[in-house]
Amino acid sequence: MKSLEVFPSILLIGQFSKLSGLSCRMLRFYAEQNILVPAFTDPATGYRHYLASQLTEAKLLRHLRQADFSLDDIAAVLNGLETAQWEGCIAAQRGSIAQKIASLEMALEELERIEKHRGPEDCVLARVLPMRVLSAPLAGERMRLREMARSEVKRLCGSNGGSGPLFCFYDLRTGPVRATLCIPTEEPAGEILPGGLLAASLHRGPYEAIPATLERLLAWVKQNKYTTNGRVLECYFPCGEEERPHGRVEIAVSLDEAALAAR
Amino acid sequence: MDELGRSLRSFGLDPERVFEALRRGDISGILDSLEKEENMLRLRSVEMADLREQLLALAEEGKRRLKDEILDEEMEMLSAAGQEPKNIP
Repeated sequence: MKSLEVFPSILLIGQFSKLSGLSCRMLRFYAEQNILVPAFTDPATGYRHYLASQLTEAKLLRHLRQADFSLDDIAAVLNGLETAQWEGCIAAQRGSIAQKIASLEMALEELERIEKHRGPEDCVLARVLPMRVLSAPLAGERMRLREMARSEVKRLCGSNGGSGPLFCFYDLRTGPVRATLCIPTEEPAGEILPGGLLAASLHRGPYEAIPATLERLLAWVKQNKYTTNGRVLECYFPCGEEERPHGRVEIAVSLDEAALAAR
Repeated sequence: MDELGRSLRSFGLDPERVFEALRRGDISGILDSLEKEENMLRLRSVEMADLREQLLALAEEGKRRLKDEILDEEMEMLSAAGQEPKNIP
């Protein structure tokens, strides 16, 4: 016959914690919630004293937590339930767990969709209105385009000039080595950048990966049977990303609206 | 509705029952269930604090064990070289 462990009849919180497997922090929390309250607290020292028989309560509480019961349900169970109430409580908890499992399964399905469909689906059609801009030619390497655009903005508008959106456009055939910088302006000296329909995609990540985003965008354009007039627009986000090695850039290609109307 | 259903499920609520109750204009039971979940979040944050403490203690123990193992290895190397380690207690 297995011999039973004999406990001291009154236990301090540390002893009770060790024997019950509930940390002192948890015991204090459960006491605050009126769920597992010490049998008495010494008024002089403030020490909490538990009775050995409360270990069975603590054990039940641990099992209830392992079954993910809420605080309210634990309180109800520890306060004693009639058989019918107990059965109802178990059934409700089973239902709640089943709903959470269903929600996690949906999250897994969503994860699979995200994993499979990365790229071309990130594109949207957007209509851009004609806008007045200050423009300047930019020539250099692809990787330096953004950096050059920033310094050109500072030259044209002073050090506070980079707070608005900033566009660069270039032709698909020549590529970004010959680009034009555009800064929206109210000044009458500015020229009008024509509006039009764009297929746009948000690039996120290292700037050297922009060509891959552009390629995916062009694939999306082709897949959706649009034709582009060859103009590529890059829109840099205005603030906070100047010093970062990666970030967000809107990449857009201008669509041929005449071809679209003829469809 | 799909999004709402998903959100309800994530808190353990059955969307069909919730919608049924809403059709009856009965919100109190649903709010009680949400309050239950809110209490659960408070409990989870205490459990999280416990878990953090436990993991830190385990990491500390792992570090100590690794240090002891290195010391043991050094001693073995010394004794293999025929030298008596000086600081054996």
